Amino acid sequence: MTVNLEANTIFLRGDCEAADAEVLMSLLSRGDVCAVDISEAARIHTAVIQMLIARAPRITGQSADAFFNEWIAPHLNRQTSP
Amino acid sequence: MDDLFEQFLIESRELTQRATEDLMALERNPADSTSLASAFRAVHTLKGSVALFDFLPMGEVLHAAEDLLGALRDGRLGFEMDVIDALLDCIGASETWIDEIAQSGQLGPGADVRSRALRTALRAPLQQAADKAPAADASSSSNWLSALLTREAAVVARARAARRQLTAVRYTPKADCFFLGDDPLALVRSIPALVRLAIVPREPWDTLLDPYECNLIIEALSAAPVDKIQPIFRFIAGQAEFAALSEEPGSGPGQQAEPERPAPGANPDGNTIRVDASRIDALVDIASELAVAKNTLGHLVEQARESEFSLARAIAANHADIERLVARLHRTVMSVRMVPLAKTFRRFPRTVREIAAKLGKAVTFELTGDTVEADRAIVDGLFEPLLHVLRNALDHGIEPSSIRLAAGKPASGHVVLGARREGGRIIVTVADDGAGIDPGKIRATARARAIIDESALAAMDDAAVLDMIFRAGFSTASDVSDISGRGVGMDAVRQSVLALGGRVAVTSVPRAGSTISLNLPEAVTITTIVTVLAGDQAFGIPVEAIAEMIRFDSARISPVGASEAFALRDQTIPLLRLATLLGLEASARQTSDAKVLIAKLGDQRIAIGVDDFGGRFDVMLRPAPALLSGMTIILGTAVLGDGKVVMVLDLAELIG
Repeated sequence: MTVNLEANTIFLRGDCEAADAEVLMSLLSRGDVCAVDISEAARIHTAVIQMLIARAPRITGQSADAFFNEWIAPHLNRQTSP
Repeated sequence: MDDLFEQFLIESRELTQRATEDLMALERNPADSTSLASAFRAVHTLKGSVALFDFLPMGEVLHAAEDLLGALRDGRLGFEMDVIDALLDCIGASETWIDEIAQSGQLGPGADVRSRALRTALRAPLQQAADKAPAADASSSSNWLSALLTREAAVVARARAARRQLTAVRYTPKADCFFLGDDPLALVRSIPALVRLAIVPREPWDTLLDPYECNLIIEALSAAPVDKIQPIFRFIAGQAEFAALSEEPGSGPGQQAEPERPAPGANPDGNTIRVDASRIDALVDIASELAVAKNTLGHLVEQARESEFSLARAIAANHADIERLVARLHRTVMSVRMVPLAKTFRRFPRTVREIAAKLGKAVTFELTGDTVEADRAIVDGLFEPLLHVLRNALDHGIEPSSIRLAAGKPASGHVVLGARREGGRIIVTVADDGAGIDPGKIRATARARAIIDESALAAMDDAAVLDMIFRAGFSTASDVSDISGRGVGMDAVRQSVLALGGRVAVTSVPRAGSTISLNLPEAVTITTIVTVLAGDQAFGIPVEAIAEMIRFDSARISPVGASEAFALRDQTIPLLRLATLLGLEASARQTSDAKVLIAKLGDQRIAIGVDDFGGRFDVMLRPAPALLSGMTIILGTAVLGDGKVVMVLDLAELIG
């Protein structure tokens, strides 16, 4: 399991594959999700990134992946917690 | 708004027509760059006017067609048969939509679905070309590149100032790339010396997002040279485009946008004006009225002769002048209505092509004599009958290629639609080099269907037998197809041609082909009618059937047995009531005035009482609709100036 919902936050962990996009979508559709935490994610597939761009959930945490942080993260919803 | 809309309808029809002609020309000769440029302009202009009125599905299709034509024009795409097909389908759909817009002000319910299908077909050739083309082809990059350069102007300027090279990449992953195992951003990760990265949706995000459909466009700027970047995308050629941005502004490979050409004039020679047909019809009406007024003047001359002879002479001379001028005016005004047959003919090449394709037959189609002119009503009225005839020629005349080859004919059938003038009339012919019509087969059919009795059939020569194809309910094709219908075609052709004041005939040589000839007047024949009221309903009666129209005190009418009569100039004339003759309720209005038409029937004069006189009109007499065609008392119908339709009566039939 690389996509988990824990206390209103979805955690992406390890390598997230294309199939995880569907899981992520269904979790994001629940309406009780406050944020997606990526601090434990390693490689994230484009399909998952697309879901994060399209649905624009608030992103928390910092990835260990420098490329992601520099080039992908700016396209995501990085607003600070309310 | 209304004027603009009217103008839109007129122009858009012209533009679709022009695009059709250009595309057909391109189909014959793909190297014809003039037609290509003209087709591009027509579609471009049409797209622009459609955008004014917000007919989105139509605009999107035209946009896709414009892209495709642009690619053809720039040589990015070669001519294949399906390219022309897709474009002609697009223009055909546009014509349908224009008709829908003209009728209801909006696109019909199927427009969205059709638009999507057409766009797919129009984009397919470009997509295929992109898949095949080397990814380095930057010629199609103009739009995204200029947008990118604008957006990233600061970065680009800095790089230029530092004399650094930049490479722009636009990567549009295929929608199904996730299924194929692609991870587009992982590829992008491999681009060296990344300077900028933009990730944007290809289509707006849908709430019903498909998690497995890639909807991204990725644009990147890199400080690495093109040849270091291209290999990264070698397995997905066609999805990525590259452009090297050199230090010199403006010398990049991005193509300059086509400078806007002047909108095509509707009027290339500057010598014609567009006039609403109804204004011309109004002129015709005035010229006709003038002719009637001139006749009255002639009558006054007669009266004046009795008292003022010299004055009468002067008026008479003047009357002759006016008569000459009125006749000239009438001729000139009628000539304004003359249009070339091309107006109708040029709609056929595409139609013929479509029908041939539907039937799976190879046909070359030729037009001759389309500059011959005839009255607008005739030219417009020819479309339906000619369509029937052409359908028949393609369906029943032209044989399949295999049969043609076996018969020693060229594989492709030949159909010629021609026109010529002959003794003040116009002959329109449709000739095919097909199977011809077998008189024996027609005899057999006539016998089988008991269309004619055996002895009459035996007495007929082959020409008369062939003529039977114009009879109602006659069809010689044993297999009825959806193209030429169930044998309703040719009798409908004869009906329509008769309605235009013409005749139709057929000649045929078995195994060599058939020719259908339409013999038509140049102008419609105008009949002058008088309208009368009977039982509150208006009817028309041809002026030549009427000897006199008189009003007198109804007290002069005396009953004669069951009927009525009155004395006129010492003669007793029987009086019939039109309402009674027609089996109508007599008008409730009782007036002291009797209004009577005197009809000449051989030597006899008969008076027909009407409830009121109407006016005098020059009309085009049309045959009565099928529903009334059994009633011989009706000569036909006529449309009056105010658009009202009246039945025109045959007095001789009515009384006799």
